[in-house]
Amino acid sequence: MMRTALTMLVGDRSKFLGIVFGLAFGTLLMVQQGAVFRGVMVLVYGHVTDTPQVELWITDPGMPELDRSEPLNERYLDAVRAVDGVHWAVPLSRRQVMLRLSDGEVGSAVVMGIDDATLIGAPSVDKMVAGSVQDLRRPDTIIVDQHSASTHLATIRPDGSRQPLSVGDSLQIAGRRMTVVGLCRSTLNLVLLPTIYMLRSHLSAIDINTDRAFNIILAGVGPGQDPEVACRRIAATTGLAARTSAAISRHVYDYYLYRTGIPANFAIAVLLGFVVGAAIAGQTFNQYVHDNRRIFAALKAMGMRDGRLVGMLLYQALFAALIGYGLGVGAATAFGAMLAGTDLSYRLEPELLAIVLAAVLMISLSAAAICARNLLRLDPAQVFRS
Amino acid sequence: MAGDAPISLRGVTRTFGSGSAAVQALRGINLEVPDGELFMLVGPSGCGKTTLISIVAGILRQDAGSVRLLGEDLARLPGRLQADFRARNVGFVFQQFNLVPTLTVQENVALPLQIAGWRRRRAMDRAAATLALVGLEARLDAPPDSLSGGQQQRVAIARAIVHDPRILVCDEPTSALDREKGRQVMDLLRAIAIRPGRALIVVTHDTRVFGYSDRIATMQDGHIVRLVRRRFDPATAATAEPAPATVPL
Repeated sequence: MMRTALTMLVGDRSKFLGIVFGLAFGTLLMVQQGAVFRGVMVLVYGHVTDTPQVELWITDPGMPELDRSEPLNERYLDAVRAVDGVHWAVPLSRRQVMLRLSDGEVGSAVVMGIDDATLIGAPSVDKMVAGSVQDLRRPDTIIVDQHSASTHLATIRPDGSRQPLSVGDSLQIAGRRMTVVGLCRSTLNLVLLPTIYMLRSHLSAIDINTDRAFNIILAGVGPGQDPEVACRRIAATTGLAARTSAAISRHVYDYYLYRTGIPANFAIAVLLGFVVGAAIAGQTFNQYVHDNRRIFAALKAMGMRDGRLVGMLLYQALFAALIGYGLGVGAATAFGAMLAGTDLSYRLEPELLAIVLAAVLMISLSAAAICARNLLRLDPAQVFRS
Repeated sequence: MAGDAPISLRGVTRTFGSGSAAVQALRGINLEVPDGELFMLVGPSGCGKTTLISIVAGILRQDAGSVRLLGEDLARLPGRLQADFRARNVGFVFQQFNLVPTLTVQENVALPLQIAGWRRRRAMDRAAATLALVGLEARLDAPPDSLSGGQQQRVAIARAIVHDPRILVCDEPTSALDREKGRQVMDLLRAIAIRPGRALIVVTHDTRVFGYSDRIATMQDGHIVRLVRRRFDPATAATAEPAPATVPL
């Protein structure tokens, strides 16, 4: 009987396509906006995931996110190093600085001023696509993220094409010419600014605001030491906020999630997808049942139980939901593939797909349930009325 | 109950609405339709025919009186068992055919069997055999809309008899057909639907088919006002008008 139910629905081509289109469109909007949101939110702690050798991140306790941490000084650094269980601790200056692009325009970049002695905080070897981290020790040198080198920082040729920034080229940062000695892969930041690595001493020389101060202390624990315990000890001893990599990622993520307007904007778009999908699919499904009410009444007259009739409707709704969902996810995946190589971050994650599937099933089965109510009230005797 | 008429109504009343808007559709109907009889119900619009066949078909409940179908008092059964009873024992031929346009002819005819719980393959085989009985074995895979009106009504008859029901209810089976097709449909109904143990009740306005009946009841204002018994004659059925004799009610 269920196969017959599907044949009934699919055979009514315009209604079936209407229902599937509504669900596919809703799915596309929800998945696409959800994937962009997740992509954007992952960027906010990209620096943490790009620096896997660091176990502890120590900042001012009021730090909302990595670009907005109060300056610290050497006294705090020494205090952290003295905490039991801390194996090493180095400073990191994370700043936004002005730079002049090849076309003369002034732009900004996020600069990581890494520890001169240890180079901790620099890109790991596997992230380097050209040059060497060790070359940062040469005067006035920088490492640039590869994506920015081929986009924002590229030179525009007379014919309009781009000449990517490469090793040996120079860039004017805060009025000082710096030589590119390496290119690396790094996660884009939220505002899509180039990421530039240099020694803290070089940063201090070009940015009078930096002085010798830094705003993050990166640390590692000794063998067998629990990072969580070390964090509590550091907090108790220094009054600073000490977090593991996972915790600081969560902290920054939560800041953007709960204290900025980013989620609300995406939520509105996702809600719109849900509402539009529900409206189109629900209305079309309702129309399908309404147009076929004489057939359903005949089935009831011929002895079909109410439960079976409702089962047929739910089965039809489930089938349409899965087709619409599949098409919507396919379109969203194609959209993501088109974004590959652009600045836009797009993350299709299983959790997102599961949530959207639940939403689509909710739309579809709710529509079927509402229609089923009408069918249960349908008088089979109406088959004899002209 | 063995020996009972398949359809037996005693003092059946039915009212729609309430208060000043109440309409009494049936006013104490007494009726018995025995095995092997083609019983016709005629009368003007609004006389209560539709209400009566709805009750006879087990899809509408009476307000008062007793209705026994195949010896079973349907009013005592819960809704799902009433549905099961209809699935097993009642076949329907509707005025507008009510074939599912998105299913093939064969799938349409298999519907009552699937409703009764048959597996699809077995139901489809039985449907094909039944369609052969009505001369449509070559149109199994056709959509109903591609058939003529007469062919569609034959499909509807095949659907009504495919599960071998003991009560067959036909609502204006010839009203949408021309004279020749109407005659063919009635020939078919008499040929394959009438047999021992089965009762056939036909509601019609079509005087051209009165000759196919064994008895004709005329309804008016919720009453059966005339009951005519005839002897069915295959030679004259297509042209004969009902005999004038009226039996006491």
